[in-house]
Amino acid sequence: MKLRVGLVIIAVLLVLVGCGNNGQTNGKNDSGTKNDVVTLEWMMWSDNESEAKVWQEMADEVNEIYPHIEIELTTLAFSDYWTRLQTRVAGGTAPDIISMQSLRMPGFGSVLYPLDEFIENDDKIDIEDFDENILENMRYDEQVAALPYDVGPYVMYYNKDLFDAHGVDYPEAGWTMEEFNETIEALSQGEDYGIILKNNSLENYIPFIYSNGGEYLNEDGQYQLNSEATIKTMDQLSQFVANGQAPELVSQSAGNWQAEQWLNGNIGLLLDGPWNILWFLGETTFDFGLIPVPESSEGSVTVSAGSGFGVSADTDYPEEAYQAVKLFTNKANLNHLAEIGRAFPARLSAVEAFYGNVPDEFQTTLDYALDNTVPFEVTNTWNRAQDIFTANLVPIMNGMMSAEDGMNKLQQELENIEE
Amino acid sequence: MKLVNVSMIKEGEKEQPAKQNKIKGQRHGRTAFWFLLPNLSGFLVFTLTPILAVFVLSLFEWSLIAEPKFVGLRNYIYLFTSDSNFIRVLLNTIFFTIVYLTLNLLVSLTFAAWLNQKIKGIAVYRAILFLPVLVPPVAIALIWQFMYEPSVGLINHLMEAIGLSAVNWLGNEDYAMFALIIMCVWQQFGYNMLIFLAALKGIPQTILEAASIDGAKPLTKFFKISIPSISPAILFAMVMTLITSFQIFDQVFILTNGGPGYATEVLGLYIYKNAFEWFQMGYGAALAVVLFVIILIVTLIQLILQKKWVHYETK
Repeated sequence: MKLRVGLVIIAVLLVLVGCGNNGQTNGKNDSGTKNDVVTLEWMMWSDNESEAKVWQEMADEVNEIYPHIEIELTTLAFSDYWTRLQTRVAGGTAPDIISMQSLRMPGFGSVLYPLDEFIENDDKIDIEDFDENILENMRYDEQVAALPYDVGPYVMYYNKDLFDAHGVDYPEAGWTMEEFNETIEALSQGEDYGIILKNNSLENYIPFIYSNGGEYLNEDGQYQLNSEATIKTMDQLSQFVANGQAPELVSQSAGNWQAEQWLNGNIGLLLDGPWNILWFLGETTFDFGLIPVPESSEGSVTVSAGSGFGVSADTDYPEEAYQAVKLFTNKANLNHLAEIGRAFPARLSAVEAFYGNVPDEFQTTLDYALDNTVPFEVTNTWNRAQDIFTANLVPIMNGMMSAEDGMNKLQQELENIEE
Repeated sequence: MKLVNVSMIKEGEKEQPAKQNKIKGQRHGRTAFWFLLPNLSGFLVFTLTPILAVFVLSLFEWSLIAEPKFVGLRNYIYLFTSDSNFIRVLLNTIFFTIVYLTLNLLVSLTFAAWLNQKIKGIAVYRAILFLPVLVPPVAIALIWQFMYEPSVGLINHLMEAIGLSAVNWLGNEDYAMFALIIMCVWQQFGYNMLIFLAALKGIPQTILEAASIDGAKPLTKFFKISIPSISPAILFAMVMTLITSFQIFDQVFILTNGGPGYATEVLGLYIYKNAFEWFQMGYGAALAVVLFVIILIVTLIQLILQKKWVHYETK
């Protein structure tokens, strides 16, 4: 009896394991040789319907141009994307085409197929056309690991209706810290706030820190967040909350808390990237403009993040996947992404299309910001550092810890993970 | 928490010759085995294997991307000697468990006692009070996030209406844990309430009537008769609630993500962050093993202490 029970259990397990294997072999047979259709999976993030539709159109286009390649698109929320990608890589089922953000490249570069050999043998790709900074950010181990589709310097969005309501002049590129403070004070009347600060993510604080002469990494590439200038910056920002000129921060899971609050219409300024223009154009009930970060001791310094598409190092069809990635980032597609305001294009030749469809002042601001962008370095413990930053950010900004104590504590915690 | 195993034993069946009994038992066993097989195979593949895998994984260093590296007990040594977060996270978890468990039992017992009276429309009240248990925790956390919102949230409006000052529930380290506990109690008390209600209904009326005749007041009856009578149910509710509160994850992940500062960072969340945000699978697994051992010990202590206060019906 016991033996029989054991055998049945083993049989059931074998069947289950067998099912898994069968699934995989079938998948691979489907895409067989050159004459057959190759099915490639493309995993991409998308936080709203309008965005998902754009990616689906791009996926369909591949099959029209290359009838032997079919793209199966999987979209996930941006915050879920990275966990899923990591588990899929671990499970040996990484998607053939992997979307990659510049900030995550140090962590994920090793799962991408180096594209240099394809690019060198390809006279149609026009690699020179890509923005130098973002192409650099798409490298891993000195090889191009993904082709970029967008690049975005952090800028400030402002609610024009609110400025009008309080009779405050619109800011202009080159505005100073004093003007920044005055503007926020003038807007903060009644239920209205001058600015909102982000409740997570170091990125959104770096432009202020840099413009003030602070830093987040030292010359050796180690975390350095408690220099005098950095503490002073955080202290100045926390004063906005203390004075009721910015909403108190709320701790919650990753999401776009600050952008959603800003969309309510009672907040003047918001620091964010140009990739949100499409979303904001669809959601806002008010007019908004773009303006660079105010000038401080170091001028107006910002950083930019961008994203692109790479090929999985594990795919059976790197060449086909490269063709698809190349198509996703060709001039026509980047023109389209630019026209609808989804992306500030990574190709210089598509920039015009972006400017053609947004107010003129956006161009002034973005040109200015791009000219003042410094390379955005990230570490391979960036995720962890972000969590530590986030945890300490809320108490600092809400005034439960002084900026000095808070940043020193933060620095200590960052040094602990470096060990 | 959702699984209640009730084994019913029929006693007093006619005695049969021993041999016949044995053969019948074997046949029953075999039939039972085939009926259990689907569930059993699921248990083996999706429960037992992952549990064993966690024990093995806790001896490795694995980022999911690179190959796993065997490190022996290093994860455990780090956990107990160098990880300053661990103590803080453990204390948060214990604090949550004690306050949550106490409130949950008090609230559910109070409502059960109230529902145990002859009130009109009792079924409606019972259904309403039980309803939050049926809603997914994630949805509840999202709704409470709005309610706790400092400027437009419902809770601050209510507090201001009764003359209290508004509080930034999810942005203040002093309040965030209580915000979490209040939400969890609201969501979960209905389950224990039903268990207590069923137990209260099971108390023989004759005992209560006898007490009344002897002149016992309602409160005396409740504390001297009802509570001791339902003590097995209270033990069950305590053990199950304690286990789930040690494992709390979804609610806190959505509501505060452990913040502000580290005010609501509990063990379940810390395991998740280690494994799936910082991609230290081995360390996450070691933490999970420690959580398992803690729950095991606390549950054993509860089962040993029960002898002092749980009254089982004697024949």
